[in-house]
Amino acid sequence: MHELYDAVFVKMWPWYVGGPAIGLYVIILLLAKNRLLSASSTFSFLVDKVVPKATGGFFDDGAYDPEPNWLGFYFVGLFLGGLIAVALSGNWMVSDLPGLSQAYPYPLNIRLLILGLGGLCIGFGTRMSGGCTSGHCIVGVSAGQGPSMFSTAIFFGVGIVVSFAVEYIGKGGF
Amino acid sequence: MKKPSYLTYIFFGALFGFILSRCGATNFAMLHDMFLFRGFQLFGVIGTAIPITAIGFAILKRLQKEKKLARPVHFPKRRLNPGTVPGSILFGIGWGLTGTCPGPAIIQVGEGHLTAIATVVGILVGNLAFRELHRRLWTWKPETCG
Repeated sequence: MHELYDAVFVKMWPWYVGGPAIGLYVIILLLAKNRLLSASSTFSFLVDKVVPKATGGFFDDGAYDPEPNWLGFYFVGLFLGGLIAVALSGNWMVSDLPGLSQAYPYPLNIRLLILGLGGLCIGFGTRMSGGCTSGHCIVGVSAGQGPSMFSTAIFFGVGIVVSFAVEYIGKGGF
Repeated sequence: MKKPSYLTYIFFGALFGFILSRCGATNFAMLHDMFLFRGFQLFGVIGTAIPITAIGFAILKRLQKEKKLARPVHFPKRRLNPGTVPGSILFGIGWGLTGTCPGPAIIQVGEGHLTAIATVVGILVGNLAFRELHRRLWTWKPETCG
């Protein structure tokens, strides 16, 4: 019993459990609620709620939506999921991101600045391209959508190049 | 009319947060290692999530065609637009810098990694910036998912 708890809640799931779990999750979400997994649009939803638009409806595609605020609740759920996962493992504490200070051996305020700037790129880019790892890479690619495959190839490629640059600079390459 | 059942969405959000957290997808070091080809875990996660989802979509499409689903579902339909390439490049830059994508950024804060608040705030501001710039400069229609 103790071992089972450890395997589910404490030890990291192996990739061959985690990946299929995500796949099943996407299908169950679609079957149960007719929603396609998407994370970046929770941010678009919040932004549009807090700062109302002057013109043009981002989410208005004319279709009737019985639960128009779902993305806001989904956002809260994501936060709680992280909290619950780490609390059940017994390791919840306020801490820096693991490995962040090794990749960025600079003072904390510089690390925060890098995260904030990176966040800017993520927010601008995902709203511009209409999706992130969830919407394009997992959902779009699985559904055989060419634009999603194209988008995924680009952000994966750029992610690799940027990470090598971060590593090179962090190790004193420049 | 049926009342919205928003609790279900909190549940589904939490379940996704839980799964991503448990398989290392919210871990900066693991994502950084994936991009540097030092760790296989997240390549394995993404590489199995996609085919399993694809099989699921194929089954659902079949069932839907044969009218065997109790309620109809919709499938993604994507179009290229002027935002696809520059948006994906920008997202790639952000993904590489922060070691996180939008979902995991929120989850990381829940995990207690409060530095990720900087990422979340950045994403919100960037999202708003694109909306406002787009409104003023361009007429093409951006895509959404969900």
